[in-house]
Amino acid sequence: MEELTAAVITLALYLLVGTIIALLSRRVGIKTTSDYYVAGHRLGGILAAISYAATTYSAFMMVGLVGLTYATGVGAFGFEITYLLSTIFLLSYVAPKVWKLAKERNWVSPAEMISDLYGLKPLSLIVAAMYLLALIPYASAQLIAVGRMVEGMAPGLYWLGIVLGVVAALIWTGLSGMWSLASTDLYQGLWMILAAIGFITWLFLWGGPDIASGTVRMAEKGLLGMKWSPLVFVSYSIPWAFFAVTNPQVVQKLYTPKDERALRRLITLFTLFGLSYTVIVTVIGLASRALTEAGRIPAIKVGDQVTPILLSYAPLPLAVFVFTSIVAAAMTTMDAIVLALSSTASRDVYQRFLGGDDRTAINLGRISILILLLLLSYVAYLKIGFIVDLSVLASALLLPLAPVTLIGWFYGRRGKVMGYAAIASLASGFSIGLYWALVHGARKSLVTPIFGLPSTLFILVVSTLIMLIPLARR
Amino acid sequence: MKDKAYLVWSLLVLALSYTVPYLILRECRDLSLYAFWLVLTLIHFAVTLIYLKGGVPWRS
Repeated sequence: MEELTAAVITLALYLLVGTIIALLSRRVGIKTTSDYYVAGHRLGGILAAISYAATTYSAFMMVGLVGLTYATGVGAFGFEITYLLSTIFLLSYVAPKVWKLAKERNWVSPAEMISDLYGLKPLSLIVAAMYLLALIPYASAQLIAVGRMVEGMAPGLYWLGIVLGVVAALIWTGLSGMWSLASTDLYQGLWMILAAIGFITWLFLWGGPDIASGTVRMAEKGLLGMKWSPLVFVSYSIPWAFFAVTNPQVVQKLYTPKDERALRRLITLFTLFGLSYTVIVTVIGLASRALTEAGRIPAIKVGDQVTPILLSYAPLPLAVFVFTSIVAAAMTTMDAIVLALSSTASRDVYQRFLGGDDRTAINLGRISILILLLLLSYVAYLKIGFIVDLSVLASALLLPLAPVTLIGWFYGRRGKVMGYAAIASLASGFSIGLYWALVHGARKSLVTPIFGLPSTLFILVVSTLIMLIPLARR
Repeated sequence: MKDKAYLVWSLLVLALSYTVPYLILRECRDLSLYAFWLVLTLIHFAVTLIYLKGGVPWRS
């Protein structure tokens, strides 16, 4: 009963403060779809940076990555850090160009950006369809995580987690678009990092000597070395290495900074947040395994159970604080995906194809947010197992967008042939990924090689080669 | 020129992050592998800060 009360109070406080922040963000005037979806390219550096980080780091970190590190050792840190290394490079090298182009051409949705880069309008609809197919399961998995976290704190109330998640997302995203999203992201990002710091501090105070002795046993089992096979490491890390380029919810964030200084701040603060969060999360995973090796906690078979089991030993306020931070991590990712998908509906379909005005487009965007959230809640309520599996595939299915987007940024607007090559590249890469997932199952398809190459690398090579053929002929 | 140097540097960092764990630190029994990736990231971040703040005319 005490646990339930603490959970309800913390969740209510978290939701109340988030809603007040979202309501305050209404003061910003919204007149155009650019204002609504990319904050009129007027976000400050801190807001843009933490929003970018909170969107990137989902519930996977504190649940999935802790479990992965527990099971496979230091290799899991490498998997996550290659993402960060690659993203630091991509953001520093290409984001300034993207940001400038976005301002000049008034890009609002990433699908619009790709069609504009190749001068081919239908391309935006193809990209939008890819986003929908790949990201609905991913966003649903976030809502499932919200439901499970609430259920973990208040047994039997999974449905309440879904309802609260949808209502909060509707207010936090629908109210003022990117303004309310970024403001609540900043609040939730702080919640995430503070909870992570609290968690790791308690863990070392509680398990200190056992963690040290358990680490020696981990070394004997090879868990401090590289236990991941090259095939698995490459297959898993390649889609994440290009995440900053392929996922619309983060690409859209690159349009938002108000000036070059804000963009630089986005890159540096995101890196600091990402590195700190990754280190904390993986050290928690390694320390948990050390505690098992030292006999302090039982062996945990299911990776996703490591954090909940560990928190069952923690003081109640801390446990509830961390559980709520996982809800926050899931919410920030889901909110950004919903906003990005909604921008495609109102901007790409309504405004660009039907020539609609801004006010109607914004209202249409709000309606599409509601429809998307209802769809996500239905999928999450059904708790279909393969949805979580499909969410693993999201980044792999979006991988063909990497060469198309990168080549578009540097060599775009070079005639329709390049546009048709982009369509062929996207169709081929996406079909291969989907076919391989249907044949081998979502998770296994990632680690089943195609012609001897890691499957994700194969998809990347095929999509890139198709793009290079017309480029080489010019 | 600075852009090219940063591009080469970044590709080198990524290549190291994939190869060193298999070629040198695969069987390590201390926290060398963790430290390697951590230090590599910190160095890459420091170089990136110099690239971003060094008055570089950003790509246009």
